[in-house]
Amino acid sequence: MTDSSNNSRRDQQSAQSAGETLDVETAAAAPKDMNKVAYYEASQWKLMWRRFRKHKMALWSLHFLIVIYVLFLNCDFFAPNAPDEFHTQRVNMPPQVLYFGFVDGNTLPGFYVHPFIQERHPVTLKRLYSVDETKRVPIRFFVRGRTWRFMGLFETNLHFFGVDKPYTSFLLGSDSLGQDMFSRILYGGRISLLLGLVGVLLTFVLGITLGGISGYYGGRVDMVIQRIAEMLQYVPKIPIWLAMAAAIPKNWTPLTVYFAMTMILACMVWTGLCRVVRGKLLSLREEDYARAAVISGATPARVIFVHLVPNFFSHIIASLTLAIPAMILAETSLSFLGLGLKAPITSWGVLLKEAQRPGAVLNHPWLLLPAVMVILTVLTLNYAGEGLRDAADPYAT
Amino acid sequence: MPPLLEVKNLRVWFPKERNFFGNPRTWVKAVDDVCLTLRRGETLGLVGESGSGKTTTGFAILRALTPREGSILFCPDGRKTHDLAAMTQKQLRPLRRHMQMIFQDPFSSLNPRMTVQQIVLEPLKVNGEGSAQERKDRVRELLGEAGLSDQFLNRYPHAFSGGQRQRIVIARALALNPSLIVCDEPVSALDVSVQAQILNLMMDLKDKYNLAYLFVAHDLEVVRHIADRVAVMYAGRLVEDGTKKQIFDDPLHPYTRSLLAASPKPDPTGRRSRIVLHGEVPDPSNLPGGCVFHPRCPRAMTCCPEVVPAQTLIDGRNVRCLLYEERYKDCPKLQQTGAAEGKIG
Amino acid sequence: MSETVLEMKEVHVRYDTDDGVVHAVRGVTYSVSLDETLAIVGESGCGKSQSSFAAMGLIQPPGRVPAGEILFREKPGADTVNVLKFHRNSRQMRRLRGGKIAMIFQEPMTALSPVHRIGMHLDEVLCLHTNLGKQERFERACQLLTDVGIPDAEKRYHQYSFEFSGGMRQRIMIAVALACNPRVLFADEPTTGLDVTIQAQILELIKKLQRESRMAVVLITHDLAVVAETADRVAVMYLGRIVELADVDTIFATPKHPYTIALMKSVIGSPLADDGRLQVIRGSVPPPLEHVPGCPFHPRCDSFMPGVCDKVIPEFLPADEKTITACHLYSKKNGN
Repeated sequence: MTDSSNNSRRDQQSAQSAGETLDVETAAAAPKDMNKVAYYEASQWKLMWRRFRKHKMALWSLHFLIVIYVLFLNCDFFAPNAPDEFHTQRVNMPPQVLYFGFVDGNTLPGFYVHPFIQERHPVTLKRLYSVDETKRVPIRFFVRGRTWRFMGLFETNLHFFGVDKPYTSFLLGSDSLGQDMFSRILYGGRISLLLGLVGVLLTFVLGITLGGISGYYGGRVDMVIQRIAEMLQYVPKIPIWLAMAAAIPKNWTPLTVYFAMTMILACMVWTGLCRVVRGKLLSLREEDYARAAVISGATPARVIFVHLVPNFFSHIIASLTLAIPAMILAETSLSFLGLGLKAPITSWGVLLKEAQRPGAVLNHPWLLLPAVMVILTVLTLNYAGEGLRDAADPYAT
Repeated sequence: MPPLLEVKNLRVWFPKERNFFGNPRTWVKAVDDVCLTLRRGETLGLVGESGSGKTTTGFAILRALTPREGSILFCPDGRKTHDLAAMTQKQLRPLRRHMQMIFQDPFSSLNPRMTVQQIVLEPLKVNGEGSAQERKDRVRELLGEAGLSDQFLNRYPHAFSGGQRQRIVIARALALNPSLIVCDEPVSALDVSVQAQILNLMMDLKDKYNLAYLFVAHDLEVVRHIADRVAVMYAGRLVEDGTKKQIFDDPLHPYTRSLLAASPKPDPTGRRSRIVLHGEVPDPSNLPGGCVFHPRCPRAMTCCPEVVPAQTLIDGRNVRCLLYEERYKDCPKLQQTGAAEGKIG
Repeated sequence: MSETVLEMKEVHVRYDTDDGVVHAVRGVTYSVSLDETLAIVGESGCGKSQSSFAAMGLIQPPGRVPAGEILFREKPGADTVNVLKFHRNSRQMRRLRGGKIAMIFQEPMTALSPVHRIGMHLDEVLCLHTNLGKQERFERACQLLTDVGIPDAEKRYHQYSFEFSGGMRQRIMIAVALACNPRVLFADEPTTGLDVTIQAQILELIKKLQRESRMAVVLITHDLAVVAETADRVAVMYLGRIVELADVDTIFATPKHPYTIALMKSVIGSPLADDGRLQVIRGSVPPPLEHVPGCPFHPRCDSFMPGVCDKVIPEFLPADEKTITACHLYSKKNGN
C-alpha cells in the first residue's frame, strides 16, 4: 500500500472516510495492472486513437491517404516527366506493363518495361502501338533528370525513377499531345488535393469564427449569421459558381485564378462547419464543468478556450476531414465544366476535361484514370472522416 | 454579525413569449418571491419536487443566472455585506472564492479533457493563489481531504466511478476555502452505499471548515439526515421553512404534510396509510391564481384561489398558507374534484 | 399460499463483447406467486434488470442465456413451460411477451413513440394478443386508461405522448402492460425519476391493479424505501447473484448476509441505520469485466474469512426458517 504514508498525514476526521476509499484505490490501481493505469491516464487523443484503430476501413483509408499525400505533394520527385513535356512521336500511347526480372547487363533482378513500336495504319494513317517483347528497358531509381526546387529551397535534379534515353516511361499511357499521364495525374493531384486543403483551412477560419460568435453570443447576432448560412446552403450551387467564375478577370495568372477558386469554394462550404461549431458551443456552454469554471471566477475567455474549445476540437477535425472531399469534387466538377482552372494548370478536373472528347472513352480509356483517382481519394477521405467522427467522442459508449 | 446569506424576495423569471419588439410578453416564473436565511456553518435543506424552482434558486444565489428582482446579501467575512443580485459578473469575480458548488451529475461536472490535478488546480490558478509549487501541494492536500489518493493526480475523469468523481468535485469546491457551498442534489445520481460515503464526507468537511451548505434535494430522508434547517418549495414559491425538527415532526403547510406522507421510508414496520396527493405540479408558465397549491390542496378554502398567502411567522418558522392567517382561517372549505384526501394502504 | 406463476432456476446471462465476457447474471433462482410482490434490489450493474429481460426474451446478441430454466405457468393449475426454450422472436415468445408476461420500463419518456397517438400503443397490444374487434378494442383501451387513473379517457386516447406529464406517461405504460391481463408484471424501476408525490400515486396504482386483476409483480429497484413500502418478499442481488432472499419484515429487521446488513445500515432512515454517521460499505462494485473468485462480495466484506470466501462460491441455502442466503457464515460446512 503506497498510500500508508499519505494516510498518516491526514487528520483524524477525514482518515475514517479516507480509509473507506483506500481499498477502492488499491483495487483499481494495483501495480499488476499497469495497462489499466495507462488507460486511466490516457488523454482524449490517445483514447480517440484507440477507438479510431478499431474502425478498420478508416485505418486503411488513413494509410492510403498518407501515401497519396506524400506522393502528390512531392510529385516533382516522383513524376518522371514534366507535366507539360510532350512527345509528338508518342501520342495516345496505351499504358505500359511493369515487369520484374533480369535485364541484360544487370546482375540483380529489377523492374523493366517493354518499349512500344509505333506504326501507322496503312489506310487510315492512325498510329498503332505494339509491344516489342524482345527489348527490355530497365527502370532505374534515383536518376538525374530535369531540375526542380525542393520545397522552393534548393535546386535538384534527382528523381525517383526514370528510363534511359531515348526511351520514355509512360506507365499510364500518354494523351493526345504525347504527355505522360502518370506525371500529369501526380501534378494534377497536387493541385486538386492542395486546393482541398487550402480551401478547408479557409473554411475552418470562417466556420470557427462565425460559428463561435453565433454560439457564444446568441441572440440577434446568432440569428443573422444563421440566416446567411442557410441562404448560402440552399442556393443552387452551379449558378453561383458560374457567376463567380465569370467574375474572375480574364487577365489573371493561373495562380491567382487558383486562389480565387479556393476562396469561392470556401465561401460555399463554411456553413456546415459554422453550424457544427455553434451547436457544440450551445450544448457545451450548459455543461456543469463550464458552469463550475464560471463559479470559480474564470473569465469568459478562459471558459471558451480552456473548457469549450478543446472539447469540440476533435469534432471539428472530423467535420473538416469530411469537408475536403466536397472541395475536391467541387473543384473537379467546376474545372470539368470549364469554369474553374484551365490549362496550362493541371488538375484532375482539367485532365478530365481534356478526356471529354468523343472516342476517348472508347479508344483511349486510360485518359479517364484521373476520375479513378478522384473516386479513390474522395472515398478514402470519407471513410477516414467517418472514423474520426466516430472516435471524436471517446467517452460515449 | 449579519448572517452569511440572506435572500430577500428573489424572483427568477424567464421570458416565455415575446412581443413584436422582442420584449417579453409572458413569463415562466421559475422562482417567485423567495426569502431564505443561511447562517455560518449551517446546512439549509431546500426541498421540493421537480419544477419547484429549487435548483434555479441555487443557481441564482451563485449568480449563474441573473435574478429579475430581489436581493442576495452575502457576507463572507462577517464585516462587509455584498448584494450579489446587483453586481456584474466582473464585480462578482473576487467574491467567487467564497462560494462554490457541488453538482448533481458527476459525469458532466468534470471536464473530460483535464486531469484530476488540472481540475482541482483550476480555481487556485484562476484566482492567482500561491506559487505553482504551493498550488500543487494544495491539490494533494485537497485530494487527501476528499479521501482520494494522490496516485490519481494524472488520471482523467473517465477513470473514476460516480462516487469518486463526486469526491473530485468536492475537492475542487474546497480549494479556495469557501464559506458557502451550494449542493445541487449531490447524491441523487449515486448508488445507496456510495451516497452514504459522500454524505459522511460532506458532514465531516462541514464540521472541519465551518462550511455552510445550501443543500438542494428532492429526497426527504437525505435532507432529514444532513440538514439543520429545511425550506420547502412548491411551484417556485417557498411554502414553509423552519428547523428540521419543526418541519419533519410537526409540518404546518398542507403541502409539506402531503410530501412527508408520500415519501416512502425504508422501514416496512412503519407501513401506514398514505395521503396520496392527486394531480401534478403546475406548469410554471401557467400558475394557478392565489395560493399555487390550492388545486391539489386537501384543505383548500374558498379564499385560496383568490388570495396569495403572505409569510406568517409561527414559533420561529415561516409558513405561507391562509390556514394560518388570522383573517382567512375561518373561510369555508373549498369543494373541488380530484384533490380529496384519499387514504389507501 | 397461492400457486407459483414464475420460477427462475439458475439463470445465467452473458455478454460476449470485444473487450471480454460480461457475466451479468450468474445463477439466479427465485419464484413468484400470484398476488405476491417480489422486490429485486441491488446497486447499478448487479444484473437485476438483466434477469427479468431473460424472462421476457429480451436478451439481444451479443448477450445470451447459456444456462438455467425459467418456468412459467400460463393458466391456474396448468403445467409450466420453460420460456428459455423459445427463441426470442418465436411465435410463442411473442405471444407471451407483452401478453401474459408484461413489463413496465424505467423511462416513460422514451417507451412511448412520439409520432403515434397513445391509443395506438394500447390498440397494438390488444390487436396482437386478443381477438377483439375494432370497437371492442377501443372500449377496452378506454377502460384501461380509466383504470390507471387517466380522466377523459376517450379524449386522451387520441392525444400524443408529449401532451402527457412523466407521471401520466408512466400510467399509460402501465395500461399498456396490463392490457392483456398478464400473470406476471415486471416493473423495472417504475418510479425512478418521478417526484415523490407522483411516485406514491404510481406505487398505489400498481398495488391496486395487482389486487384487482390478480398477478405476480416483480419490482426491480435500487430504492430500499420503495421496497419497504410495497414488497412482500425481497431478493438482494450483488454482482449477478442473489445473496439473500427473505420476506420484507425479516430482511429489514434481521438481515443475514453481510452485504444486506451493510446496505441496510447505509440507508438513511432504515431501522438499522444510526442517526449520526452512516455506515458505509468499503470500496465500490468492481467493474463488469473483472472476475472476483469465490464469494463476489468478499473484497468488501467485514466478515471475510481468508481461504474460504476468496476460494469457494457460497451456495444459496436456507440460513433459518425465514431467510435463504448465499454466505459461508451460514453454510453448515464451515460452521458459524
